[in-house]
Amino acid sequence: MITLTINDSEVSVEPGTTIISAAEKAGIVIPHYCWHPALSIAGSCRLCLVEIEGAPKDVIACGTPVTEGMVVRTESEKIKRDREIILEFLLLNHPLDCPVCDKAGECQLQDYSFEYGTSHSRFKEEKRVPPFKDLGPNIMLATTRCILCTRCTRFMDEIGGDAQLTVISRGSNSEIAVPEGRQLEHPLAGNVVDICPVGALLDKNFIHRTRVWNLSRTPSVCGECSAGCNTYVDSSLDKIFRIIPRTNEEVNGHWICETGRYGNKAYEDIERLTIPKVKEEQTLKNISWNEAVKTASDGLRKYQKTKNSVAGLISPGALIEDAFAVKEFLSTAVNSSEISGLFYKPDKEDKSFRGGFIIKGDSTPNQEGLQLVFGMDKPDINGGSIMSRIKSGNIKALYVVHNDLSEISQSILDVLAKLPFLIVEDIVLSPVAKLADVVLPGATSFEKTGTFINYQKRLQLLQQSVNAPEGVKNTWDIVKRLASMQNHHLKWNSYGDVFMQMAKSYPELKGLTHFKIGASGALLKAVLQTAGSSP
Amino acid sequence: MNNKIIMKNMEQPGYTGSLKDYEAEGGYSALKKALGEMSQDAIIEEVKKSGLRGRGGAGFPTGMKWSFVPKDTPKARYLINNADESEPGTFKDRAIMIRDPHLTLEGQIISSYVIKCNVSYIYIRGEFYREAEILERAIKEAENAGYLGDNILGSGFDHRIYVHRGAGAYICGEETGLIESLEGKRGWPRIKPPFPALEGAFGCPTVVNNTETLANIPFIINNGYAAFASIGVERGTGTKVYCISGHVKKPGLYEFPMGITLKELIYDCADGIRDDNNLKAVIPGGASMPVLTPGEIDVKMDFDSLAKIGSHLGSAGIIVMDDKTCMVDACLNLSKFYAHESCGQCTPCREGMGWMKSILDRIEHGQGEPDDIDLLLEITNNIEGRTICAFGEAGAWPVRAFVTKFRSEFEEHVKQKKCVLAA
Repeated sequence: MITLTINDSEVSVEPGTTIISAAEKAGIVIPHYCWHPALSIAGSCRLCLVEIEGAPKDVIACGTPVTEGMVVRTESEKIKRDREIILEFLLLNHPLDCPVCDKAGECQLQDYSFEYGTSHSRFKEEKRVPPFKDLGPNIMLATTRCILCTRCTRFMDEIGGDAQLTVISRGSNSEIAVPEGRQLEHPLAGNVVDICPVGALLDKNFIHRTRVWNLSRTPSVCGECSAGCNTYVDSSLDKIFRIIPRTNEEVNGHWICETGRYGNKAYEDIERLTIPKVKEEQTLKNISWNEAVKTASDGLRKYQKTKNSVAGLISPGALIEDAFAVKEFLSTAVNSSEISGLFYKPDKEDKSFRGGFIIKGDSTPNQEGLQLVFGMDKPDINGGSIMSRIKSGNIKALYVVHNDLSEISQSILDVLAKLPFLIVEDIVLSPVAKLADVVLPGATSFEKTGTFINYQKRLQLLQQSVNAPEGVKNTWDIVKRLASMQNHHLKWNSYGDVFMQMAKSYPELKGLTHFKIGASGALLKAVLQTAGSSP
Repeated sequence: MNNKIIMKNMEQPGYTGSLKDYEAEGGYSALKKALGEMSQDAIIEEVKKSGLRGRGGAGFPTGMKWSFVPKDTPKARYLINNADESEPGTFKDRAIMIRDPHLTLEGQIISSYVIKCNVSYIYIRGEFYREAEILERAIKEAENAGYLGDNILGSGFDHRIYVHRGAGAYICGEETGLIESLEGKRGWPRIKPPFPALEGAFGCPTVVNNTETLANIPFIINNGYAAFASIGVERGTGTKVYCISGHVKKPGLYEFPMGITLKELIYDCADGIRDDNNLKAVIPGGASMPVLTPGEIDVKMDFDSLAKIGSHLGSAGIIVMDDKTCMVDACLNLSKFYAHESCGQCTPCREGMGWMKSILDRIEHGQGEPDDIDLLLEITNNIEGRTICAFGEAGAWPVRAFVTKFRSEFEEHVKQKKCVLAA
C-alpha cells in the first residue's frame, strides 16, 4: 500500500492508484469532466489539476499515479485559480443557452461554474456557432455546448466496441462527429447521452419535454432481459420521461442498452385495462371488481374440490412476489400445487460487448425468480407440465398472470382456449385475455415494488416509479380478495409483506426483506450454504 | 569552413547524395565500425560523452534518451526518425533528406542497433512528398548494399526502415502525437507517464530522434566522442545547422559550431538586413521561441546561452524582421498558425490559441481595447503549464515575448485604432 497526504488527511491506496481515485477514497471530490471511472484516461479537460508539494507544475489528478509520501493539495488558492482558468476557457465559446438546454439542472458545466468559476466573462469575440447535428436515430449533438471531453468517443470504442463517434477538425473547430456515411446507431449508443457532462449529446426522445428538476427519480431494475440492469426511472405525474442506468459494478457497470432505455415506450400508447371483464355469451363485458372477483371465485369453486384441478401460470415478466402470491393462494384456498411459468427457450444468443456489457438472449427478467418460487431446477418451457395436464383434462381452471406485453404463442393459446374456466390478469386486452372467462386489470412492473432474480441469481429490488391507472390492482391484492371469498385470509398488505412471508419459506431468502436487499442486489447463495451446514 | 558534420558532403560540388557518392566520402564506415567492433553500451557511452543533444527543439541528451529503453524486455523496440519538420522558420532536416539522405539513414541504423530494434520508421511531414521519395530510394540502395535487411554486414543484426508520411499536422512532430499518428490514429499527444521509452509505438519501448540528431551519429562513431565534444561550447557540443530566413540578404542554411553569435549569423553569414534596413526583431529558434530585440543579438546560439536570456535554441530556425515589420502583424501571423495547428485535445490550448488570435486580429485591425494587451499576457500565463504537451508553451511564448518586448507598438495600435506600420 502507498500512503499519501491529501489536504492534510492521510490515505492509503494500492500502488498504481491515481490521485483522483485516492482522493475519492478519502472523501475528497476533485472536479473533472473527461475522467470517467469506466473509461481510459484522456487527461484533456485539465479541470482536475492539483498541486503536489515539490512538483514544478500542477498535475492532472486523473492521470497521475500516487507515490509514497506524496503531499497533494486540491483546495489551495493556486488550484482554485487553475479551476477558474479552465472554466473560463470552457465557457468562451459556450452559448450559455441554459434556459432552453435539456441538461440544465444536471449539468456539470453549470455546477462547476457555479462552484469554482467566476461570474464574468472577458471574451469579447464572436462565439463560434457550429450547427447542431443529427447523429443517429436517437441522438443529436448540440455542437455549441460540447466541451470535447471525448467521453462519448471513448465509450463507443472501449465499451461499445465500435468507434461510431470521432473528433474531426482541429483546435477550437474540433467537433464530435460520426465518420462519413455512418450513423450513431448501436445497442449501447444512448449511454453517451448519460455520460456527456454537458448538454451536448441529447436523446431526441427526451428533448424539450420537461425540465429535469420536475422529475422524480426511482431506483429500478430493467425488465427487458435476464441481465437485470440497474436503472433509474425518471417520471413526473405518473408519466415516465426516461430510463437511465444506475451504476452497479456487479451487474451492468454504468450502462444500459437501448432496449432497456426505451423499455417504457411500448407501454405509452397502449389501451390499458382498467375495468374487469367477464365473458357473457362469448363476449367480454365490463363489470365491477366485486362482481369480477365473485365470478372468478365461483368459477374456481366448481373445480377446486378435486386436488390440483386449478392451476396457475405466471409470465416471467412478473415479480417473484406475484408468483409466490398466486402459489400461496392456490395451495391455501383452492387445493392445488399446480403452478408454472410461461418459461421460454431463448431463440437468440447472449450479446456481449467490448467493455464486458452483456445483453442476454433470454429477454425476460425473472425466469430465475420463478424457478426459485416454483422449486424448479430448470425452466419448464412454455409451462409444459401444466399444458399437458390441461390437454389431458386434469386441469380445469387456470389463473394466468400476464402483466406485460410479451407474446404468447398460438399453440399455447390453443390449449388455453380448451379450458373450462380461465382467469387472466393482464394490462391490455391481449390475445390471452380475450380467451378468458374473467379478465382482471393488472399492474406493470413500473407500477409496483418487488423483486426480480437475474441470470446471476442476484435478487434485485425494483421500486414503484409510477402509480397504476385507476381501477388496476396488484396481484397480491387480487388473490387476497379471491382467497377471502373462499374464507381464507392471506395476511399481506403489500409486496413487502408478501416478500417477508416468502423469506420464511425459502432458505435462499432467509433474513432478507425488501429493505435489506441493498442497492447492488443480493447474490443468492446455494441453499445448502445458506442452511449453514458445516463442511 | 572546416568542422562541418551535417553539411560536409552536401556542399561538395557534384555531390548527389547517392549511395555511391556517400560511400566515396566514407559513408557507412561508422555502421561497419559500430556493428563490427562496438557493443550497444559502448555506443551509448560514446554518445553520452559526446554531449550530443537533440536537434529537434528540446535539446534532450541523446545518449540518455537511449539509455531509458529497458535492456531486457520481451517486447519489440522501435526507433522513429522524426522528419516531421514543421516548425515555421526551420528547413534543415529537409536539406539533409534531399541532399544527403544516407547520412541520417546511417545514423538511424546505428541508433536502432543500439536499442536493439529491428524495425524503425521515418515519420516524414506529409508535404515532403519529394523527400519521401528520395528516402525510399535511399533505403532501397542501402538494402541492396546490405546496410539494411537481414544480417547486416554479417553482424547478425536485422533491420528494416519504413517511411511513414504524415497528413499535414504540426502536432505530429510532438513525439507522442507522432506515435499516435504512426499507429493510424488522430495525432493527439499522449499524457505522460508512460513515456515512450517504456511505452511508445504499439505499446512498445520507443525512441524518437530528430533527423539532424541522427545525422550526427556517424561522425561520433567514426571520430570518437572527443572530436565531437571539442566542437562548440560546454553543454552545447558539436555543430548546428542554423536556418536563416526573413529580411536578410542571404537567407539559407549555415552550419557552424554551436556558440556562434546570432549577430555573426545575421550580419556575417546572411550578409545583413535587406535594403540595409535596421533590424527590429529576430526569432532565434523557430516560431515557438521567444523573439529577441536588436539589443540581444550578441547572444551565443547554443542551448544554455539562449535560455539564459529567456529564449531557446529550439530548432535553430532564425527568422529576421526589419524595421518595416509590424510586430502586431507578425505576432498575429504566428498566432494564426498556432490557432490553426492546435490539435484541440486539451482545454487551455484549444480555446486559448483561438482567443489570442482573435484579440490580436482586433488589435491589428483597429479594434483593440486598452485592456486587451494585459489580457493577452494573462492568457499566455493561463495556457502555460496547464496543457498535455509543449504546444501550449509553443503558442504562448511567442505572444508573450512580442507583447512584452514591443508593448508600445501594441499600445499605439490600440490608441490610433489602426496598424501604425501599414503602408
